[in-house]
Amino acid sequence: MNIFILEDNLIQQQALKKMIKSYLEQHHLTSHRLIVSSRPEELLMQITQLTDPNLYFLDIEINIATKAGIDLAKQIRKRDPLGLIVFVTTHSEYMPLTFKYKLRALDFIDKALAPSEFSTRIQECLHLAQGASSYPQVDFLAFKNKRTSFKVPFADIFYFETTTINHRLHLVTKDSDRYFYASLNDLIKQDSRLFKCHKSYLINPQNIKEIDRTNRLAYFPNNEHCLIARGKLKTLINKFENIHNN
Amino acid sequence: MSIALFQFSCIFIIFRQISQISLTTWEMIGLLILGVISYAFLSYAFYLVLVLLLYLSGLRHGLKKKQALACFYSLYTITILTLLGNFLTVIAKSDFMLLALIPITIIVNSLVLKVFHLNLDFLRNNYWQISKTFLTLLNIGLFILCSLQFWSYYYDLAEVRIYLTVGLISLIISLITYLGLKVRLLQEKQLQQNQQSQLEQLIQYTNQIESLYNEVRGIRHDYTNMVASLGHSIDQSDLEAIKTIYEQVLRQASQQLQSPKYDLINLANIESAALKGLISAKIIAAQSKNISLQVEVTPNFTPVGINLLDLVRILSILLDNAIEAAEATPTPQINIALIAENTKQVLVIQNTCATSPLKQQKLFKQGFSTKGENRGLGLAIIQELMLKYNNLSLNTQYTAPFFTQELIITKEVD
Repeated sequence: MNIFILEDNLIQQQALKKMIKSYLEQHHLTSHRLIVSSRPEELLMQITQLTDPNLYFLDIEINIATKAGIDLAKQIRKRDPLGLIVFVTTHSEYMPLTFKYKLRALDFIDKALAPSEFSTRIQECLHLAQGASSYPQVDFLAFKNKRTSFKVPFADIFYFETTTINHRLHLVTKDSDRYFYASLNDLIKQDSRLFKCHKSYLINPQNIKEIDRTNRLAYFPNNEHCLIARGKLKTLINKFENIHNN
Repeated sequence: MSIALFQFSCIFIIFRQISQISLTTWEMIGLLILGVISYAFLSYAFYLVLVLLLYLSGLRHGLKKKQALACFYSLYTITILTLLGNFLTVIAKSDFMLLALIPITIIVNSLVLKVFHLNLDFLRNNYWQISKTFLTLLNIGLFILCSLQFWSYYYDLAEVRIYLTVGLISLIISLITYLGLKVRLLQEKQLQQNQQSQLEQLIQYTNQIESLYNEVRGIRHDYTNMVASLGHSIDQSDLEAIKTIYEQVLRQASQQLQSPKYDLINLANIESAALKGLISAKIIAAQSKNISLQVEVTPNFTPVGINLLDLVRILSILLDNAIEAAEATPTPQINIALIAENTKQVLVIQNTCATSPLKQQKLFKQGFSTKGENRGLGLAIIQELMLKYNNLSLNTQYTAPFFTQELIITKEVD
């Protein structure tokens, strides 16, 4: 993991650098490279090694360019899609939800925080990044059509079900649910690991907790269940047993 | 026999036309068999069985909580069919001709529905806002019409029946017209209420902005004074005094200016007075309940791809729910973001919530609410509104301590 800092105010730049360096030394993480710059182009050229996600601390307003940090973050996203971006900036630009949504920013740290709190927040980011780089690559289901687009970790998916409205689907995952317009068949095309066990249900067999053979129901960890069509029961039981024997 | 079959298919078609519910093959066969059997036992009173069966199938097809509507659909189907059928028996000279004329009922019905389709759509989409007494009266009226009709068969009052039919048809037309009037009144009332609350919200917004402005003016005044005394202290090289002024005053002033209440200024980015008014009103309501609140709006946020009134209603329900849920938590917090992108708009509402409100499948079912019985109307209304659009998707998520709802409005791309 490399750590990048974009900051044009020299005093703040050095303070942040010092803070990060002392954290790295304390935790014996000397193998990490620390790249500091006040110019977005220069920083972008330094992003070379991409074996694991990098950590970026970006100020948003650089010199008079009010959105330099945001533009840079967009560029970084293209090169380093899993990189961890933290905006370190003044309150007037504070839009954490928006940046989380648009740029998947990890955090948003206000420069005006009391020094001790500021340093704690920086350390938390470093700590989180430390953990993140050892994670295996997450396997996503990314779906996009004319009316909707979303991305969810495949392992979190429980099932998709049709609703009383044509083409309106309901996706249930470990900690969320989502209503959108698409057809079950479009989704099967997207990922063949999904299994259509009933004309109204498309399920992720990996997450089945239990199969009720007499009533033909598949149970999920949240205790919700899906119907299983008569003809699909056998195939599903096979899949279920395969998954659990491996 | 063929006439009976034909009439039954008319029932299915008319029922489908009025309620937009297509019965399954099994339901149709069941209805047919039970209809024939009850005719054998009950003679003309068999219409009661038909009405009941259609009502039950309506319930099976998503009208479980809208019994009055299911009742209306089934009564309407049977009444209109017998009324028109009556006319035809008078016109037709032979059975064969009757057979040929029966499809006319369907055509006439679709014409009637076309004329009144706005009223019926309104009924379908705004079920929860229409007085149930009115619907019950309508149903009773229809039931009486229908019963009179069948009694006239039973006592074989053929000559009376023609007058009866004309009278009944004019009655049904006046009933539907009354419904139309009622609908228009309701719509007007809704519009008026909306305008009224919009005005109130905007006045509140202006007041809030004015009081913020006065506060900023006060801070500016203090600030200028402090900078002056800072200059004085620097001249005298009084480091202690400089430190004190910085720590106690300047820092405090800058923190004061960062108070979330100044987030209200972000609303300037919303290019719709109605939306601005709504959100400011909810922010003020939340602040008065000591909920800390953060609002983000990307520049030039204009809602596209959804009727403004509908968006305002959806947002107002989501925000009310968020305030109510957050209030019950130890550190209440609500975050709102209105994000405009090239192809879509995203509205994010995040609130602290004690327990996961997702008993997932039930969240949007009629009347479901974690707040107790009969209080889930808000979510049901959202669901009803969402059905009007195919470019909306709603994503809800719970990751402690935050419950997050994301409403995504895709711009039509074709």
